[in-house]
Amino acid sequence: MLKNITLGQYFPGDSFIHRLDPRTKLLATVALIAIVFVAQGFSGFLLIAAFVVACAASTGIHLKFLVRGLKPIMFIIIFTFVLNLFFQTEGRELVHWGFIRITDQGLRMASFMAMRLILLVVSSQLLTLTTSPIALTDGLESLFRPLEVIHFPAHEIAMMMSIALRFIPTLMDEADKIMKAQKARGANFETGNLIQRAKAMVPLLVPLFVGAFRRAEDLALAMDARCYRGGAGRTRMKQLKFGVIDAIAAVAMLLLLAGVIALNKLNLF
Amino acid sequence: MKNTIIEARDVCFKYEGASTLAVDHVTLDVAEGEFLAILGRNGSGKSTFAKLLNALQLPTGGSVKVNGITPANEDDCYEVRKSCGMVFQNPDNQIVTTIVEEDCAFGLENLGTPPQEIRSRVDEALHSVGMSEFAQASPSMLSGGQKQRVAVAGVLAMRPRIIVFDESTAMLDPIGRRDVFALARRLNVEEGITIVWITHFMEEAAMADRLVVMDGGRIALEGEPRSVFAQTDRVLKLGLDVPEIMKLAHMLRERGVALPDDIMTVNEMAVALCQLK
Amino acid sequence: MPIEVKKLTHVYMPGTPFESRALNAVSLSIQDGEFVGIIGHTGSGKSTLITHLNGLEKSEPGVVFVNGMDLGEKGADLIAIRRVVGLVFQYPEYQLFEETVAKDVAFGPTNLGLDADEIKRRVEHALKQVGLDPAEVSEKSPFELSGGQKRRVAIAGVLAMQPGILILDEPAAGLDPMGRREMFDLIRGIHDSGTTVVMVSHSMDDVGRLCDRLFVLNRGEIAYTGTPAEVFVHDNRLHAIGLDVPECAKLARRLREAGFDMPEGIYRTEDVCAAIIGNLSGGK
Repeated sequence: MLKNITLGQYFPGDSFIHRLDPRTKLLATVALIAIVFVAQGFSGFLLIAAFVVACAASTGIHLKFLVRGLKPIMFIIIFTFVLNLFFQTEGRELVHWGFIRITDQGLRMASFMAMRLILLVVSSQLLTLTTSPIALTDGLESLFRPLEVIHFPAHEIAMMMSIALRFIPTLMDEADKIMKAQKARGANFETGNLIQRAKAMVPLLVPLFVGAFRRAEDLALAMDARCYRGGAGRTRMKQLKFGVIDAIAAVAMLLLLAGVIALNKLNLF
Repeated sequence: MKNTIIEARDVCFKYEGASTLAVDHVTLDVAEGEFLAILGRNGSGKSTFAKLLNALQLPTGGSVKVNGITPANEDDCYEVRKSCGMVFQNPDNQIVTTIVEEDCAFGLENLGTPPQEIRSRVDEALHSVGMSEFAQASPSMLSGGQKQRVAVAGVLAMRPRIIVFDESTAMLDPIGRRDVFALARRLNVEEGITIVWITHFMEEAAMADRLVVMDGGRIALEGEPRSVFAQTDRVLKLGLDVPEIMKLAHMLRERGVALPDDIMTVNEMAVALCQLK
Repeated sequence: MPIEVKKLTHVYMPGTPFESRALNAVSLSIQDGEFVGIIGHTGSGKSTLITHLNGLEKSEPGVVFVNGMDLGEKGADLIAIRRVVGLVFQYPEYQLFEETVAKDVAFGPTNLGLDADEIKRRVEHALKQVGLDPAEVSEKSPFELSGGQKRRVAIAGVLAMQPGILILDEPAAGLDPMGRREMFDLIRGIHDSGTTVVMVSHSMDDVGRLCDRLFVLNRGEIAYTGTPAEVFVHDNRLHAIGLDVPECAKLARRLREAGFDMPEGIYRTEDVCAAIIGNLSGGK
């Protein structure tokens, strides 16, 4: 049921990657995405894939979880692959069947795009699996803090994110309860056509929203009562600190980039 | 005579658009270190009064002086809230973060306390409410009573001199209710924190040092719990309850049993009856 | 319309590290017209039990029977079950959603497929049953009512389905003493009009005052069952599982131990009063 939906699927652990500063992980993920686009040949992708798999293995998280995470976007990956396959018309012709024409260039481009997408998803998953939601928001807040000079509301956004994370399980629970209560009054959420089903959601959504507003009011009061007045002058109990391991991670990323560029130059395959 | 820590003088509060006063000319002193219970029906003005005590609302008439400050501007409100913490009714709606200890730190972070000090005060507060082993837990995994204890720890970490409990046990089961009340009592006795305990459970009100009964925004009765509850008919007429033993004592007296006026507990009743036999 | 439960077991999230046994071989039967109390503290399995009684949770075939219907059977007619068993959850006012009180109360009967006239008649009747004036509240938004009135509207929404069995989960939670008294009077009235009532509570005081028969649940099993007097005899054991007997039952025990002649299991204030008077006048 609703409870089975897990958001921010964090896997607690104590591996090298777990212990990295969340900012390091955020920056490294961005860097990895960039490197994925730098790669121009299979050899480059192979190197990156090896790197990602090594990282994943070091965290102790089962590869199965990473693969499972790919399922929801499998459609997009296949779609992109097919699109690139059919619409790249340059290069040596491999198949020609009616209006379908597949070239070696097309196959190459399509495979590259698919691999880029897979690596992108897997590496960002690695980020969320090894970083607690709260560390992630702290990291984001800290990275965006310099932008507060131009009035970017870094603190407010981070606060909103963490409150949302806090209340998701509560609201899921509430949705479950309301659904049961309405079912007891004969409501039917399971059958009917699209319009009927959408209409059937009203008895669930109205109480859920009313409840969420009530909670928001209560929470605002409770935050006021504990002297909250925005990000100015606030301190944090847990300070983010870069350590030796973060430097090691930075070096590793640089080496990976250098490796990919070198492989591009060598133009192996 | 102990210091007066809360001085409410002729306090009135009217919600915007309302025709009647939610709090109607209330004058009340609370002594430092006191455990005061405010009992009243839903809508009797007791929760509004609570919000006036830590400047979540400002009175529309009269004045409230808390720990020497009569809040006039935002900075004063901030000072009042520092010294007067508040624990609310709904355990789910007052926890801000996804990790117990982070939530405890929330208030201190707002005050700009240095990180090392936050750390030590949070650990101390969690220990004090018996939630140390849950420091890393997610609040959604806790029971109602445990959540309220976390809320108390979050307030406690700010080292307030007063804690207002605004119907903090109304949504808990009997075990949670007993736990949270015992915690408040202990903080009062051991740490000398002044407690204002707002409730509609007479069992809890009966255990306070002093009891104020509110009705229609005004103070209807005031005094030691047993002397207030001894006015059984008045209390029942106000839509409240009296301890079962006091009802029994009332019945027995009506049938001519000569019982002392202030019997409230099972123990007292048993002793008194054994002497009569 | 009897309820019959035979060895009902419910396990949450079986086969995962979060596996927990909410109910363990619970058997019980409830007769037509009874007023039954189910007590136990949070996590004792009482909420899970009642969701089984109207098919919201599905059991194995041959385990839960209502009115002869096997709720665990494949293709059991859920609407038929809900016509028989009305379930009022804790804080039911949080399920209100319609623009007007009348429309909200009509939600259940509409789902039963009744015709408009019948629905209108039922809505009015149900509102009267919960002590509200249909002419006054019908066209109001449920969200502008007071907390106590909202809860009454929510209960009316279940009553309008005219169930023969009404199950209420902590109907007085969060109400003040006057509100509690009024709520219990209302429920007693519903029972008196011929409905079988099952009330879930964690207050021995409340169930003792209202119910004919109690089931005490502890860790998913029925620990005690019987009339309130029969159950309150186990006061020490009840205390150990986190439930308290009424103050007057405690007093009766104390006095009995001190040599008073007090009947076993006595708990009502009036009864305890009468017994004490008997002792005092007899002793003189």
